[in-house]
Parts: sequence; C-alpha cells; structure tokens
Amino acid sequence: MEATVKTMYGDILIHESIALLQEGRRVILAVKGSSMHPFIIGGKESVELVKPQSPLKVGDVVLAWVNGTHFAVHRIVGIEGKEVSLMGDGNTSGIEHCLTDDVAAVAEFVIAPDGKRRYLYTKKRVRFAHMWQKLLPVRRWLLAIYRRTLLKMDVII
Amino acid sequence: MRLKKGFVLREVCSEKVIVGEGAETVDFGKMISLNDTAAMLWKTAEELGDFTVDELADALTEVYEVNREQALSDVQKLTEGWKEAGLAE
Repeated sequence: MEATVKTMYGDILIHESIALLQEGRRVILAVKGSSMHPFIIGGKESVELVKPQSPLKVGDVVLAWVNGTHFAVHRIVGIEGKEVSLMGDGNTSGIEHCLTDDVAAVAEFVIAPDGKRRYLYTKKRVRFAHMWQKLLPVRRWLLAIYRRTLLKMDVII
Repeated sequence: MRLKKGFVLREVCSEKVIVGEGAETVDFGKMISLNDTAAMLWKTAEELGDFTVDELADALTEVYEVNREQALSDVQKLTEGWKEAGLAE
C-alpha cells in the first residue's frame, strides 16, 4: 500500500507545497496509507517537510516523484550517483526509483493528531530505522505483530 | 468574536480552504474547505477584526439574495462551526 500524500486535492496541493518549499517555507502535509508503519501512521499523522538542505542520504524520509508516476513519502534505501532507491518502512517489497532532482522535500518531523511533533532523526530513531531495514526478511511478521498490538495501543516509535 | 491568528484563506485547486500558516510553516495537514459564501464571510470577518453575527449577516444580505432571518441563521451556524474548529474565538 502506498503512503501517498493525502489526495484531497491531489497533485495540485503537492505542487503548491513544492512551490512554498522552494520559497524556503516548511510545509505540513497529511499522509495516508500504512506504507510508513511503524514510523508514520498514515491517516492520522502528518509530516513536516523542508526543502533538501544538504546532500540526500540513505535513511532520509522524503517526498519524491517516484517511478515517474506518483508522489510518495518513503525512505531512501540507496543512492548511486543521481539515482535514488526508496521503499516504505511498512512495505515488505517494492523498491521505487527516482533521481535526486525528483526529491522535492525531506520529512523532518512527524506531527501527531494532538499536534505533538517528533523528530524523525533522533539517534534512537535512526538506529531503529537502520535495524528495521536489516530486518526486511522478517518484516512481514514484525508488521503483523505491530499492527495487531502496538498500533492499536497508539504506541509511538 | 474574532478570527484566531495563524489561519489563512488560500485557494488550492480552485477550492477555498483555511490553512494554518505562520511565517515559517504552512500547514496543509488540517485544511478546512469553505464554499464561496463562507469564504466571502471569512474575508469580511478578517477585514472587521472584531465582528458580530449581525455584521456578517449584513454582509451576506448585501451580496446574496437571502432574507435577514435566513442570513442570521446561516451565519450563526457558520460561526459556531468556526469556533468548534478552533478558527474563531
């Protein structure tokens, strides 16, 4: 399932957001879907985006035009030159591709429904994201357990 | 009554929406969609600063063919909605 940006206003809202990001403003967008579980809960949470300030790196969660077909908020899992590979933390397969120029923004914070912001790149979360990537072979089962337990208890990662 | 600071009427995809907006951040995470009439009343409320239901009803009857009783009722409902959504106080 895609963690596409909320489609209430579709791509036009995203283009409007990108224009604001280019002006140097931060933009908060709601996301939907479960493909960024357990780090972002689509349908409930939003992401605070900034224009990429420094070179992109593996582990960044970004808003990008992927596969030449759609926008997604997913994590970078590989960079080779200008070619970027992305994957949703809540997906068990399906690497997406784009170029560095297709990355419109980096997600820095997740905004909970109560307005609380959590930084995506604390040492703890970076370590966990790295471990989560390593656990890809068993992610299917981990996600199943997460969705049956921690997600229902509103436990934040 | 007055509109709370930090909310801006924007046009996105030909729709008028209220967006939380500060100097640095634009929040599309929680947008509230307004129809043309509500957007006109929002602009009027912005211009007035402190406003009353009566004043907005006046603005409504000036622009649209609606009797005063209906205008008062509609504005009352609209502004209650704004208060419930945290847009006005």
